[in-house]
Amino acid sequence: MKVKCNRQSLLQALQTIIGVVTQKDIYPILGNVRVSAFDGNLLFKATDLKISLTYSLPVSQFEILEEGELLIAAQKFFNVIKEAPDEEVEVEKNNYDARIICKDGKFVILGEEPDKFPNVPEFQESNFIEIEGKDFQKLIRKTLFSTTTERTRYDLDNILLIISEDSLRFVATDGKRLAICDRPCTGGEGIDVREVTVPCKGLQQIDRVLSTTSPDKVRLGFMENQLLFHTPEVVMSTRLSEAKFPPYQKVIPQGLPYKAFLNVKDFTSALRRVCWFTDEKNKSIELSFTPEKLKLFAMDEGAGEASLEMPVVYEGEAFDIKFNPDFFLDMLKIADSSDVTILLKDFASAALIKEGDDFQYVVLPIKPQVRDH
Amino acid sequence: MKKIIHIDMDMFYAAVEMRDDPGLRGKPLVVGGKPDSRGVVCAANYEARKYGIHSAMSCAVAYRKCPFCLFIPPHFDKYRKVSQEIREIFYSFTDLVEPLSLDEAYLDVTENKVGEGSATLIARAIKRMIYEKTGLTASAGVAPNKFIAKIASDYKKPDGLWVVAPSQVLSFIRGLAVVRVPGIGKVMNEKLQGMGIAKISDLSEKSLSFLLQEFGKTGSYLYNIAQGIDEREVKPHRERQSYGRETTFERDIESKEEVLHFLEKCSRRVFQELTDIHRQAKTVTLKIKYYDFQTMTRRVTAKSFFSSAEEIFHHIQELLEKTEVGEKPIRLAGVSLSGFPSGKEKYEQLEFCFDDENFEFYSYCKEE
Repeated sequence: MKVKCNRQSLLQALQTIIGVVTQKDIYPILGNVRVSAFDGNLLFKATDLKISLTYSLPVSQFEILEEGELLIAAQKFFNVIKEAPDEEVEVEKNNYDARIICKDGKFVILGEEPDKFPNVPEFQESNFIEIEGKDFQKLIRKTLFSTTTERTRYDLDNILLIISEDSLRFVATDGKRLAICDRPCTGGEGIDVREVTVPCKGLQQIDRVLSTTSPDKVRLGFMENQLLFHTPEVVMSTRLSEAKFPPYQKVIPQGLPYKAFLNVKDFTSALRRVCWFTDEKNKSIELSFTPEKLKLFAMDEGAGEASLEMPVVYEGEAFDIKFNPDFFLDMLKIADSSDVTILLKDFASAALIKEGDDFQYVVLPIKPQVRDH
Repeated sequence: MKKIIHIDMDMFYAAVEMRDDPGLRGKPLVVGGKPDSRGVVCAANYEARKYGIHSAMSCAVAYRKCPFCLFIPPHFDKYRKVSQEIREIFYSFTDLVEPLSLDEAYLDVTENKVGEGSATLIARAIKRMIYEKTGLTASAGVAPNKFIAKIASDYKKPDGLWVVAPSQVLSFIRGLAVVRVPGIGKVMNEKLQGMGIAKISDLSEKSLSFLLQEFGKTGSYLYNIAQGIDEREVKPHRERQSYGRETTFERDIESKEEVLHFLEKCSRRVFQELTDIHRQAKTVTLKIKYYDFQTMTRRVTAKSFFSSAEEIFHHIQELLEKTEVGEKPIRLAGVSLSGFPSGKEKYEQLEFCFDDENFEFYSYCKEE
């Protein structure tokens, strides 16, 4: 095998793939990337057995001088390419090893027999959902932050995907808050499954692919216990989780009587300023809603306290409620609109935040101190 | 001077069963495990007690004592429902109710909702209301403190009412065996017997310094008890420290799968029990008793409160790996939950309660 590649494109391929490569040495073979140059395609494959990724380099970015295959340490390959000064690099196979030729030097990476590498699923072209790349990234970003890796919430390190004819819904929760995002898609009617639970790690990897390659459209397919993800450059598969997702529908509060309209920028800024005065371990701020003003108050015993007022459009009775400010900040950070609506009931009930038509976020408050009666 | 009532239902589980199935009346009856099993007696009616059967005895022993005794399995849901009805009656008189179990409670009626000055009349009214509402009889003890009230309720069982006026306290307790004092168990009783202290009158002759020296802190409690003084308050917020379920198997179990299957059911059960009363826990304990009676417990505390039975079972599976289940036969297994939010905790993030079968949204719940 011998190929000549545009270094920048090759780097992008390796950057995308490196997230899947396992660094742990339980299966040393999984620390490798399989490079195949056949039939005018240059493919890079990696897998950790749960997530598999195939990156195909755009045709204009390489030239196959000799067909063949390589299996080499991904991290080493990535490092060499990252630091190389060249515009073009040459990768050549010598026995099982790879020789990388730059204009000022030569690197040899010891390789292994390519067939030792596990098979990586291919994308099935039969039934798939098609969705805009930016919409898919939005679905991930607007829900992923609400998951938790905390071991106690073992079943919440996943996102629930709900497929309907023309839209895709993502749901995530860490037991204290719940994020729901909907985006339009096409082709949903051809899919047999309606609900799947996808591990966060797979979606993080997809997010990474979307960031580095910014595809216009992506395709999703389902095969046995796999979610397949397809863009012009990438085919990725992630194993679905067997965990049951909690029945999320019923925690979405209905008929909340009070409503506040908040400017995202103002609210974020106020929260951050007040946030410096919360106890790091037990973050808590008090929000006092009145018809014209929202008052934010925080106190860190031994450090000080902060109170701020900001204008608000509020329809409801005046009352106080406590929240973990991070729950709001996490969500505001990724808000696309300039305003959000908060629906409320009382100091002990969940609040529902709505941004546009496609994002809902349920947040549980912090229980007020028990008062003696 | 306080006015305390101790109410104790007469052979509660057995009485409920006999009420619901008149065919059981007049015959020796045990509620608990099967006669040929290694389960225990939860309750025995008076006919069965004549044969020396008492609660906590193993069913096999009970069976030997009375082979024609009827054995029926307990129906806890039913008992809980009756218990709730009884508590409601208590609460109509006072909020100072300290339930000790499903069938037993202390009430402080010094001040009460009905403005009745006589605790005796209240006790009589409670007994009558219990009978009218549930068809069951209760025994009541009325006294100036918890200790005396408890002993008094047992004095004229069943369907008894015994009142110990403040002036009668000392003469009432003088002749009692020390083992009747709450808190004196087998070990302490033996120690007391060894010192020649058999009755409360013997105890009352000992000096405070002697008792403190011999029994540490408990010494002052014993000293007071012997003088008829018990300052323990009726604690309406008496909270259980743990919720658990354990079972002695019919036969020793060797298969790990079988144990897991049982533990899964257990996990669901305890989680259900906990959510029923709107409580949360973050510690789960696995208890295993091997065939040779060697008992072990393994526990794990999660960072946040459990939100599903599956989560609990997940921990149980991990804990089980730390045991010898599957290698050694076991005779008992159980799951219990503890680590409840202490009411004093300032910071408590509310959590969704993702119950398996009956999902319900856990919101702010007042401590009951």
